[in-house]
Amino acid sequence: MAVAPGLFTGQDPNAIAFLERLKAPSLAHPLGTDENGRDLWARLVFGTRPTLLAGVSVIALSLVVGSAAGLAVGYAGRHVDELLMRVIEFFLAFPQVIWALAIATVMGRGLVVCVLALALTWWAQYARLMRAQVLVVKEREFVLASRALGQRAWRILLRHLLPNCVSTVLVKATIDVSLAILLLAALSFLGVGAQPPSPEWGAMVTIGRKYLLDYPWYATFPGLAIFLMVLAFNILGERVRDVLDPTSKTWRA
Amino acid sequence: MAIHRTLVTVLLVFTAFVGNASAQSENVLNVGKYTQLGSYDPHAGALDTLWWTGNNFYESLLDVNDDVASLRPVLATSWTASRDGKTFTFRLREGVKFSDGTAFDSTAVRLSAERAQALKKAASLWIKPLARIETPSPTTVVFHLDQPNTMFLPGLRFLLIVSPKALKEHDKGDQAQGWLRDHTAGTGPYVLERWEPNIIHVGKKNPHYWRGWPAGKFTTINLRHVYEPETQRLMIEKGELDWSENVTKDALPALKRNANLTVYEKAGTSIMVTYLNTNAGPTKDPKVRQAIHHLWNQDAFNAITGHAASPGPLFTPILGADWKLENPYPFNAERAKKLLAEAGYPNGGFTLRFQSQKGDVDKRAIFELMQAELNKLNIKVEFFDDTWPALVKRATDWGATKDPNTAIHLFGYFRPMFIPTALDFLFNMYHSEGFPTKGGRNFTYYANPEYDKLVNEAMTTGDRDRALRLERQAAELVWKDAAVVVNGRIVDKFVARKDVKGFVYLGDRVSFRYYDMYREK
Repeated sequence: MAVAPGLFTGQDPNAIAFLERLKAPSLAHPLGTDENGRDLWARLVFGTRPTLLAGVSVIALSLVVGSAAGLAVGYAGRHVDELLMRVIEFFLAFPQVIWALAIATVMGRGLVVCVLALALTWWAQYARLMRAQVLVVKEREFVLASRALGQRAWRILLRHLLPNCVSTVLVKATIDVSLAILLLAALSFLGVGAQPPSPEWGAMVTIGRKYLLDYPWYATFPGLAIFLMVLAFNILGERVRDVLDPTSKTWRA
Repeated sequence: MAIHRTLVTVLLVFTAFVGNASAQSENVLNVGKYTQLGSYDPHAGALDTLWWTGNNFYESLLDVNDDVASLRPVLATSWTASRDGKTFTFRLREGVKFSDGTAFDSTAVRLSAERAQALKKAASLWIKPLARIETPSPTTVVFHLDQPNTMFLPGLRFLLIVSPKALKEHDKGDQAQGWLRDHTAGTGPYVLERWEPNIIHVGKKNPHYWRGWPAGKFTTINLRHVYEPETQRLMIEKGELDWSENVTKDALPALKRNANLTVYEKAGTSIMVTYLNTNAGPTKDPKVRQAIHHLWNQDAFNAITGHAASPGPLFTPILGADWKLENPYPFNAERAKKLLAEAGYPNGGFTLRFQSQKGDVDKRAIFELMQAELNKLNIKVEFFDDTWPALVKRATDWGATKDPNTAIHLFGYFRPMFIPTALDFLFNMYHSEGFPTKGGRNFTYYANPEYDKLVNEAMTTGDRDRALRLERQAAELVWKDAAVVVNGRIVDKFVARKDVKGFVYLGDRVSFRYYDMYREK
């Protein structure tokens, strides 16, 4: 749906049809219409991409930056570790939504700004997790042997440490996508996220909330869509963990 | 026995508390406001201060009648004008006191007028033609103008009179601006007791109010900022509000079915426009502005908001019921595209910024409609909203620098007719002396010498027919120049609890005289 929304609907998600505004679900409009007469099913379909893309982008950025930082910090140890851990703790100290709001105030509104703002605070979690993994693995014999043989640090990081430490962060990343989607929806709800006429689901819930009393379908369907996507990523995260965790029953089986 | 006595005591105390609360709430009016306020100082604030405070906290020599078409005496009992229109003599009402107990007299009028002129904000614009004031007696004040001006007399509505004692006592070298920003010292029915900006204003009865306090009047007014119309709706349905000023068309059917509520729908004098920045960005070019106006879908707006079309950039009936101004901008995307091409934007390719008042669903609808049409021509529109005082400040501050990087190109605005003359719109909204930096509402910074000349002549001529012709020409010219997109004429909607009576509609959604209302028993 995110890749090819046109396959799921023939309607323009931004086409205003003022005579069709706030219509209840029907054959012509399966999920009803919004306050401007726009088809809600079309907006939901076309909103899959920005919603999903934004959530995945936050985590992808955080994963890459955080993992790289955690790898380097964990391997370097001593003073570098001490210094960078303080930096990581600084970023972990503030609630993400507050950070994102503050950054959006300075940098302007929009989904891209919110993605960057969230990634700016989220990377620290991956850095800390990756560092913890590296601290254990770097004392293993094959790593010590590589160092004794004179292998360069970057080769050790990429060939030995990263493959053996990445599974935990990947599991976290998969589950975090759902959380990112929720946070982005919250930021859209607060008005700093997706800007009109974007059919991003959080923004739809924001506007639909104003019509909840008399036109409940408006906020309900995008809210349900967010719920289903979050559920899907949670289940995916558990499956990934089952596959990658050597102590799990699935792996042993 | 001891437990029994304790229980009875608790019950009695509780009942007394509840009973007392019920008795108090009869005299308390809880209002859900639509708009916000920046300052209570009637001489240093913007225009919103004048109508906010002028209806409930301060008064002037005169005011508009309930029909907004004529004037009535308030702090004056009568007035005369000289033949040449340059001298106005007012006889003042006796026995009036300010809320701090000071007697009202001609000196108070003079001091307030001089203060307004010195501070050069919104209030000064309304008395701009005033050259000299005489106070031959405590109950007589004489205004002398340099030349006749038809706006002066009705404009006195916004020369609000402040207690001289308060001006003196609270002057810290700032003419008491610091104190008057969040305190009041007027002759009006209420005194500001507490103000939490953007949350609540609490007004208590002025014990010295000259009209007195018959039984049933609201002695306390709680003006609450509740930005979301749906929240106001829930509050009024539950009885947490008695009067709601932010009501949407979509909520009307359910509200009308509610037997505990009274719904008011009134077509008044207010028009809704989108100011187009004539000084910066693509909207500096008249062809771009005209193109934008051609993309205005009036029918869609009417269907979404319940408002109507406005046949002009002002409340046109004031220029004669028989006068029709032809709309130069029918909804026509092809025409818009042609104009953009002539302006050098055949494929669009620019971004405009639209600012709007927080909680105003009509302006949001304007934005969405405009954005939808402009997007089709590859023109992006960015939206942001803020409280009304913040928007005014931003637009005013911008006038000092005119930085193109921070320009707002579209500014959603609605404008009632505050005084019964077309010049209220023509001067305040479009004249170069009406820039926000000078206290006016010309947020478009439109400055056309030909237009100014028409309006100046209309203001100063004693010939009413000639003035009417000039005003009509000015209206045609400013619409031709597309200084604004004319979005519609507002149909105001309010909701009250069934037992709240006495509401008098003053033609707009911001002027309310809470003293006139009462709770029916």
